[in-house]
Amino acid sequence: MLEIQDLDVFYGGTQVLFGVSLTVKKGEIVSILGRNGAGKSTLLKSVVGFVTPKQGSIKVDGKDIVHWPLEKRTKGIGYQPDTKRLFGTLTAFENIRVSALGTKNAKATMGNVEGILNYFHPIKGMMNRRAATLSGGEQQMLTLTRALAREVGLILLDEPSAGLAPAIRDNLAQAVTDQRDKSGCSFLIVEQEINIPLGISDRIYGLLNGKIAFEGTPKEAVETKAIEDILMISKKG
Amino acid sequence: MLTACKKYLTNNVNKSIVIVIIFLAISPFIIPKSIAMDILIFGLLAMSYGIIQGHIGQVSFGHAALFGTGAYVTGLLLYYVDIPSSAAWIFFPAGVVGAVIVALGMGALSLRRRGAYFALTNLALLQLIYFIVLQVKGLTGGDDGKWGIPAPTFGSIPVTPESLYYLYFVIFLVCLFLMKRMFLDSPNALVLHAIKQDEARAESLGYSVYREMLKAYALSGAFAGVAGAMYAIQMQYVGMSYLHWSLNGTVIIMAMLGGVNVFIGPFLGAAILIALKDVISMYTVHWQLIVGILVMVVILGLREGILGRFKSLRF
Amino acid sequence: MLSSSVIVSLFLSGLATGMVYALLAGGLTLIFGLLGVINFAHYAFIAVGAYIALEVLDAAGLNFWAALAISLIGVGLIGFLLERTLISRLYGQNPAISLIFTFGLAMAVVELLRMVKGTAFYHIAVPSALVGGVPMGDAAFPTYRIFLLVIGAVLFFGVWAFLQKTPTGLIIRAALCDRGMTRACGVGVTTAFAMTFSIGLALAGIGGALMAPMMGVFPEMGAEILIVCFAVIVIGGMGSFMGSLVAGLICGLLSSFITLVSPQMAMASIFIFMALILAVRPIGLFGEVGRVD
Repeated sequence: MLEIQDLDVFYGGTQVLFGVSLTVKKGEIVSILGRNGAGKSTLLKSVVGFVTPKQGSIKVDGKDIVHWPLEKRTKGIGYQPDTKRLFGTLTAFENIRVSALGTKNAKATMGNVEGILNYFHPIKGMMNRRAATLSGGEQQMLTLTRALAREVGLILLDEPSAGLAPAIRDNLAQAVTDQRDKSGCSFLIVEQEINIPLGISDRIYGLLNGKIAFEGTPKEAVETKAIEDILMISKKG
Repeated sequence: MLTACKKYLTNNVNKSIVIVIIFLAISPFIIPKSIAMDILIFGLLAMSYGIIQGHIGQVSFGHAALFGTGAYVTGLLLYYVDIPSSAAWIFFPAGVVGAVIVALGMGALSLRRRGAYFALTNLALLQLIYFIVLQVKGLTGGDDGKWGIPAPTFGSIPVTPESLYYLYFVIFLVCLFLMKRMFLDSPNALVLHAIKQDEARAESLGYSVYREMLKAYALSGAFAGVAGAMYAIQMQYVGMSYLHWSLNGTVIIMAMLGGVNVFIGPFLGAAILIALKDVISMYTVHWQLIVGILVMVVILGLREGILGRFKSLRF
Repeated sequence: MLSSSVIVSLFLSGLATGMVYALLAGGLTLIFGLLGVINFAHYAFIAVGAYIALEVLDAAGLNFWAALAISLIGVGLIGFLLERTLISRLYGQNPAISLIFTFGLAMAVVELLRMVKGTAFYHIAVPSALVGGVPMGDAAFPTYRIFLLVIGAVLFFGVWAFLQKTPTGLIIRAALCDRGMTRACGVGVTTAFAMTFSIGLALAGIGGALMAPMMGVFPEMGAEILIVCFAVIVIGGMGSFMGSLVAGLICGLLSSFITLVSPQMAMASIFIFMALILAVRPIGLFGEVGRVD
């Protein structure tokens, strides 16, 4: 579904990603773990198109999208940015609706909303409120709904559990697996927290200082202590 | 002596300055005197604006206020105050001082912001000044302006267009070298350019960005005031057109046409614009159409202005 | 002391003037808010709209209502074409670029008007249905000004409805908040941009046509009001359509009442207000915290 090969990305003169290669198969849930500054967000941004790699290829469904404009790429991709990036003056409902307009099947996307909101029930009654008036956690749930409702084959999540209550985090994990089971959608999830990646991923990549430092199943990550040693993340309660 | 000159001239920027000086020195002999005068005065004005857009790195819609203040202060003092006409030259620097004071006032308020807010604050302040000057028409002549401003004299000898031109030429030279010193060669210039590139970093290095910008803005006002005072004396008239917002547009066009990132870029832009207007006017009264189209073409094609493509001239 | 009828008259007059400000500023603010372009050419297209109305009335012999409609649509179409061919090349650059470019465009367009129609004043008569006034105290309040107020409100509401209820309007509003994220949702913004410029210019055009019966038609007719409109968009908040309505009305009222003191001070007061807003709440009354790109 997604195939990244030898990606080099620079911010100005500084290199941020060094020859990164990874794959996400159809129906797979893949997580990327790494500290702050390791380049995780940059990786997702390269797929979406906010950042142009200096070299390397990004293939979605077999097609190299590196030179495609944002709006063309994301017709088939869902994206939840780590900074939420909601449309503040629009209502919650309108935020999702804009996103739906950008999919091949807007009706189907809107049809998914009710189901997704079951996982994020606290914001169910807030659909007519302006997005800027929502609290941090509510906004996070909204930006997740906006991404997850999309009728697409690949969804990118950048630190999806940030700011969510523990119960909702569990719902999030459930939502992701349910969506994958139902529609065969692939997921690429970037996290600093290990709970979701270890809990639901088929495979994990470890990103350290812009390079892939680990690839394997969650089980392997724990057994080889790769998580603690190479990624230096502490298990949060 | 010769080797010193040669060394001076290896620098492209210096070469360009020498060309400008030579041009101004001989221009009254090769082009009509009024055009030569216009090029000198508006060249200076455009360069004073270039300080704001080129060195500070911001666009201002209020520059006409500084030109107008210089003109009105000098002009009205000459008109109303009765002193021996050979001593009346003192009103020239008075106009400059007036412009600096206004610049400090405007800059103090507008430099608290950047970008469009900076530009529009200056516009608001310009409009304020415009309407106040219009209102006080007993003093300023309002819409009609003040005609018949007496020019100062050299002792008992009245000024002629030629002598006035060469006096202004000397003043221009002084301004030119001052500008070069302040904005190209001094350590202070480096500070300003650092600020233009990355304000936050400059601030973290201990420079007061606000103060440096205010200093530069005030200096820009000083030079604009010189141009204004020159114009008032030459035209022997001051009027609301000196404070009109459309003058801003003209000045910005001049500066950007020549290139704001080149020291003498604005001067070139002024010369080209004035020459063009004059030449085109001989054939048609509709020169604004040509200039308008030219501006659009140049801006799309040569974003950095005509001289901006020469890296050796850029600062 | 002012009689109440004078006060009401001044109030309504201020609202009418304010409504014109709001229409013109509304277009400017959308264009700046979404496209990032400071459209100096706005003042030229105020005149273009008025001249189109003139031609429709004189040459085509149609009525005032047709003139208004054709002005609106005509300038709107011109706006669409201009955006696709020229304006879109200015995006993403230093605002000085768009400023000077549109200044040059304005110079050229105004001169073209002079070439085609000359520099003389033309007159457009107030349509017979709107002649006269509503009696108010000793004098009568001109019906045409009430009409201005009403039609302005209708136009404003029309654009507002477009923004709120149509898919393109939704995209425009989203892109006003965050252009990049809009695109990252798979939504292309080129049509939205073209429509925005088109609507903005159309409002300028019909504004000119509406002002014509009061001030005559001449090439520079939009110049002075443009600068006031810059003040209005700063006060209202750059990018806020409703903000320009409120700010426009406030400025209209300010101008109307302070003209009693002096017309110059009326204008000055608008700029004093603008400077105050810049000092105290620079994002404007209805401004939203910075757009993300």
